Amino acid sequence: MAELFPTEFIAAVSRMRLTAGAVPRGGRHAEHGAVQVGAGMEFRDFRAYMPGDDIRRIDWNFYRRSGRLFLRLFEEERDLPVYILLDRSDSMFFEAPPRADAAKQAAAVLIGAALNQHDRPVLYPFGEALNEGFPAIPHARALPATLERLAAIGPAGPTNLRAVLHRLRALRLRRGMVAIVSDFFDPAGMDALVESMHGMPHKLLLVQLCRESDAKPHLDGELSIVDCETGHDLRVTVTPRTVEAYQRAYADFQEKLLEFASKRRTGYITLDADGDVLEEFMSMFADGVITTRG
Amino acid sequence: MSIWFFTGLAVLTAGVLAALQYLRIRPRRVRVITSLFWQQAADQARARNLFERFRHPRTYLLLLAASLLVLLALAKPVFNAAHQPHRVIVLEAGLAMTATDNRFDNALELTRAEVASLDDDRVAVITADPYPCLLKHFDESLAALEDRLARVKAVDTPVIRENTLRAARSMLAGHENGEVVLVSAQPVTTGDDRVRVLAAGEVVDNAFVLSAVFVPDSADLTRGAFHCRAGFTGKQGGKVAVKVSRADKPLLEQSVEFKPGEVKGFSVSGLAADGSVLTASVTAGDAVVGDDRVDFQLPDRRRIQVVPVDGMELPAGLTAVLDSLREVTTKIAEGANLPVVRVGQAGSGADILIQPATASGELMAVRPSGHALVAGLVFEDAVCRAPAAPLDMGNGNLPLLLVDGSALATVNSDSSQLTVCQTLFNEDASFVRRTGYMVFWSKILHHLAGWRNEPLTLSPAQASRSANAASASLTLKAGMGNFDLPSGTGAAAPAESGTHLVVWQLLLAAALALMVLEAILNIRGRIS
Repeated sequence: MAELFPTEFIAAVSRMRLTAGAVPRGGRHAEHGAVQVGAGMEFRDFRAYMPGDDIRRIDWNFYRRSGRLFLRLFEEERDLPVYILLDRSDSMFFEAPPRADAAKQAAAVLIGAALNQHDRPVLYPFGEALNEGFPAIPHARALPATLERLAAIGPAGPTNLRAVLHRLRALRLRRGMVAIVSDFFDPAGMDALVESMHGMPHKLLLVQLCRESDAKPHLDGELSIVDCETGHDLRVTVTPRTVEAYQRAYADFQEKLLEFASKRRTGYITLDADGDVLEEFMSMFADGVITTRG
Repeated sequence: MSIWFFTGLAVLTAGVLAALQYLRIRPRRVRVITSLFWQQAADQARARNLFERFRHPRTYLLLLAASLLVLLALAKPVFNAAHQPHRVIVLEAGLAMTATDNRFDNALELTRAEVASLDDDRVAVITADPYPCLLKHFDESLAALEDRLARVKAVDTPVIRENTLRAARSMLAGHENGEVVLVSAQPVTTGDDRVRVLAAGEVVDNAFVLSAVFVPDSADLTRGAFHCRAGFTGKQGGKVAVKVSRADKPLLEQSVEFKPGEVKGFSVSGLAADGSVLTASVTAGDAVVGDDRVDFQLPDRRRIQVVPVDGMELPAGLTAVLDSLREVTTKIAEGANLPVVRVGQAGSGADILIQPATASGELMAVRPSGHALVAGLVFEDAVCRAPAAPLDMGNGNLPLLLVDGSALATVNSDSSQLTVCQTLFNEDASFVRRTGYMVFWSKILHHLAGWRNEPLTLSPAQASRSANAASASLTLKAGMGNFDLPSGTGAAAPAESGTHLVVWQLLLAAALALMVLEAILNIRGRIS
């Protein structure tokens, strides 16, 4: 754990913030502006009084001027449910160093940032299926214990992100933010993934773990290419032309993911699995604040 | 190419391709994080890349099919030609074809008809005028044949039929379904089932001299007997006058009754081999002019005179040998034009050198070398009492006959001059009475006297042509290389066929090399 999450890493994570444009109803008070208006501090709107409303919110000044009863509405600051889907499929543990390490660090950053603003991060590891989620203790001091559990996560078979998202929807969780930390190499392909993500009722943050070799494979000759997850054996003669075709296929994959993120106004982060995750986060988000839109 | 050869070749090709295919399908195993993009890349590349389309197992089947097609093309298949034989047509253009005005024209027409009945690659044509000449090989087209046929003329010498048939049979080597068609002047029998005879003319009464031979007497090689064989063909028998004469002086005159196809021999004995010309002729109701007479030159074998130089006395051992040879004389014959062999000591310019006697030694063996003059000499238990003094072997002299390491005869490697070194053998020594020693001297003296080693048996054609005509070879017409006449039936295919085979092998080797190259490049991913 100390190798994956050194002290400096934990200290840096403790200073990060995660912001969302709006927080769905429910939950507890926190630092996010919620869609729900009511007993907050920041004025939001007026609304006509209805029987049963709290008479303490009636704007008596307005009543004096107009003779009509209106309630003064304030925006409530509520907590943001953060569901972190961490890919623990075999592909994440395949290479050396495994990109699962970077994925865990990315998840740690998200957890830490959420805890810092009293949100409720819940970690859902997944492989072929969605594992049981474990919520982080809603206190910043509990972060090391959470990271320890995070570090202990091991590989769990092939990727089936579509089934995972379907299962997540079926859980009917309170609306919040879903951060998917994965390489997104689902055998079903990007089209099927995009279709599954489209129906998600949550805000999405896509964190993709990449390597340079993903885009520029160093293979040549007559090969039997075996998929590390499915074991699928593909015999192919790798020529410069084949490599070009591979790069086109990979670029198309990336393009589709980016297009989805753009259309759905979804946060999209690409992390180099061989780089310093913390640095990459810090450089991508000003002042160490991660913002999801929507 | 026979069907079995082709089948074998096809199986071999299939094996080679299978091996190449095995090499091709032994890829390097690589695990990747996902095969998602490789699958798409392979699908795209396969759609555009010819070699990718030719992937296993269809690669193998398609390559195999392509290779078999190439092999089939090399086999030069002909539709509906499987039953056609390979045919060698022998057109005789010898003396018999001159018997009547149109006999040779008929032969040419028969030849053309035989050629036209088969495809180009099934017909070869040989003419015999009288030596076998190739007009068309199986691989040649018919285009050049007509021109070559037009240039063939009947000659005034009999054909050497057996040599021609032997050449024709050799051309059929390797062809199971082959036949020889002999276009002859008249019906003949060859004794070979594979030879079909087409007669260009009728059988006419004809007497002819078949062969002539001079057989020397074993006791006196300067004399001998002349033998000739005469034959007769015709529908019925007839009387033939046989005559042997020298300078118009008759030596033999006989009138003999012959049956059709009969051959009889005639002899004149007691003839001196003086190089004169004998004429053997037959006379009958003859329709063919030219084969009824043969001129035969007898060998010139006058006695050999051995002359001592500077009055030197011949050693007793050598004298004993010379006395035993009837064709040799040591007496000086006045006025006689005899070949002379000179005997003397070193420096005298003699052909036979006399070495001074040395001390008697132990019995020693005689070892002849492989030179033609001493080859085959046998000296069982032969020994000599006095060892020869060592002969100076310098100046390019090579030993012919060694007695305990000393040369008894040498030949100069540069001038081919022969020198015999006569050591003083004891005349009582058993060595000088050995047959091998006698034969040795006989050969040496014949050689020094210039006796020609000419053939003693001549056919009429050889006698009519030249002394060097004994060898027959199959010659090719203009633009084609000669090749030797193979001996016997079923001999190896002639050179022309060999050349074709080499081209064929080169093509196959090139094809295989290309396949290997393709496989290597493909494995290394260099072919896109």
